[in-house]
Amino acid sequence: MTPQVSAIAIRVFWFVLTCALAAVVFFPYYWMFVSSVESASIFQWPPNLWPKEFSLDAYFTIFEQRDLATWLRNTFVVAGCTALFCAIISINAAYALSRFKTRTTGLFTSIILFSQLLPAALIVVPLFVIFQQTGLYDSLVGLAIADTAFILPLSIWLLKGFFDQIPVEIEQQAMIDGCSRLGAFYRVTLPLALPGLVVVIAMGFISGWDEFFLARTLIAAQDNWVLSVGLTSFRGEYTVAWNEMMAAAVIFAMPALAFFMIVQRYLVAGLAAGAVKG
Amino acid sequence: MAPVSIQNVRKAFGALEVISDFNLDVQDGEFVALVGPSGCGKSTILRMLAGLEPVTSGNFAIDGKSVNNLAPKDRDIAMVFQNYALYPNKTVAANMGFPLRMRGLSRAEIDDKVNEVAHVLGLENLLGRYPRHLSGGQRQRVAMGRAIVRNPKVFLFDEPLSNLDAKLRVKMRAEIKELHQRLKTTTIYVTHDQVEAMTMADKIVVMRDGKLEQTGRPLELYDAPENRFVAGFIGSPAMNFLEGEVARREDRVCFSVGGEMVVSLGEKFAPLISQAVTLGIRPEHISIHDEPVPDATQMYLGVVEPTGAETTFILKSGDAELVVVKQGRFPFTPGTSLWVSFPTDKLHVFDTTGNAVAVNS
Repeated sequence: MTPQVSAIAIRVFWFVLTCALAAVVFFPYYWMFVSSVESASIFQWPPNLWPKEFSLDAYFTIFEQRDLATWLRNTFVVAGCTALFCAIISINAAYALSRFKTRTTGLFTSIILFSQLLPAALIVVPLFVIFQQTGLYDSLVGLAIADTAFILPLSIWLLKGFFDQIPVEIEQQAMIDGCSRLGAFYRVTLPLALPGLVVVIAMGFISGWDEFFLARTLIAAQDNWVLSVGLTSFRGEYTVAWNEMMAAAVIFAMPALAFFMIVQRYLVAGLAAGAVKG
Repeated sequence: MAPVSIQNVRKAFGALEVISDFNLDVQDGEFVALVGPSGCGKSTILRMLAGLEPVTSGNFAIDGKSVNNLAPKDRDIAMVFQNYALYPNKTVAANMGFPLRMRGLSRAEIDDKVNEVAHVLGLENLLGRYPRHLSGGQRQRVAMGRAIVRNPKVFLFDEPLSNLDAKLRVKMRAEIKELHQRLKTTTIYVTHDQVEAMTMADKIVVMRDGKLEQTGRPLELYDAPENRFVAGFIGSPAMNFLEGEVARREDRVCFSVGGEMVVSLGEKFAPLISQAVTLGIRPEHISIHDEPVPDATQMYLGVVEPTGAETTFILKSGDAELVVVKQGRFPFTPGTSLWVSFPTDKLHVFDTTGNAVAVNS
């Protein structure tokens, strides 16, 4: 083989491999969509990879027969609040850990990382008791607070990495140029950490959006359900409404997908920049 | 423009005192260079003056008013950092206009001033670019532009040329000096490079371990260092030092290094007889001869470093080593025997504590 043919063969190999991996990753989503618009049984063999009887009935049914709009709204509230709380707290905590070095800074940083190691199942019972006693049980904001607590350590660490990379001299220059310390932070440092902030907001939003375990435990009333909990209602004692469940799953996945597409430019830059100290 | 006064300043980090009782007066329009080795506290002085570092005790005054309790933005200073500290997300024009925007100037006023300074610094074509698209020298110029545009009372430079290559450093050195001559703004310039200090400053302050070693005009420090540290720090190549004793030999006052190398000092050094001293002489003041002459010491040539305009010789004799710089080019090869003599009026003598010994001529 000449070098040119060899180079083309290598490129073809990688292209085919990438396509195969993409197919493996995307097939469940495709199957979810096909199942939601296929009115025939999804359990037939061989399976219908292309819907034979295309129908959007399941989408109308779930909005008519279930309180999907409310669950969707609730999910937005929880995901939005989680992203907001996560951003506000991690900005301040990460900046403090990055800029104000004291003897206990290292200890605090380690404690925050350690808290990430605790599984939700371990603390959900104490959390349940605390939420009941403080009136946060069965409240969307309460659920957002709980979700925030779980995503916060990672967010703080990620954002701290961003602040660490921004030379302190830039902030000091802004203070000489006419800003207060806080002004220098908001006008100069924070805009420079924007990719990191977008990643933190995205992580907060997604974790609030698709969280199930805490939502199942800390929310009781059906009016306060989020979509992840609502999805379980499609499974009856004797039957499972697969079409409707898949239709709801598609609706459930859409906003997260759209959100990812909007922020993915920042996300890639942010994750890469945070990974290596520049 | 304004005078700067630093009085009895002390700075400590916990129990560690990094600046002790520092005093300095900078005249209106003066260019003062703070020099010293890394960690001597020169940048800390500058940062305290800028308000970026709290003062443990003492007073900083600009234009006769104490600024200790003022925020950096209220001190009417401009600072240029070693890493330029340009705002990466702003264009050159926005970087230079930022301090004016913070002062609440109108867009038209900001544009006018930025264009004026850009013209002075040759940055007109770069105003729309971002810092990442600029070379090191251009970034340095933008940082200077941002400092100049607000017309501050005092300029502070914290090793601004350290990140540039040698050639660009020489060019920027001249530009900063020219700029100072034009603007006549009081300037305090921190550097560890004594050549920068010598070539640019009206006055040099040499520091070591948080203390002021000597203050004076560049050539004063060069010609009359008050101690061995200053003598060794100022000048390149550094001053030669020989450890030995003053003694009388054959009715002449001599300096001897372990009894081997003997340098005739002259009668004015007679009061130092029997004292252990350090003899200092600058490389360009040593005379070399290719044949024996009276009062000369024989050494052999170790290394020859021709640089074109001048030649540097490293001469050895026993443990003693001398660096000699001579104008011109020489045919000597390593291993050749040469004779060196020291003009007595160019000798510096330091006692065992390192202080210069005053000798009446």
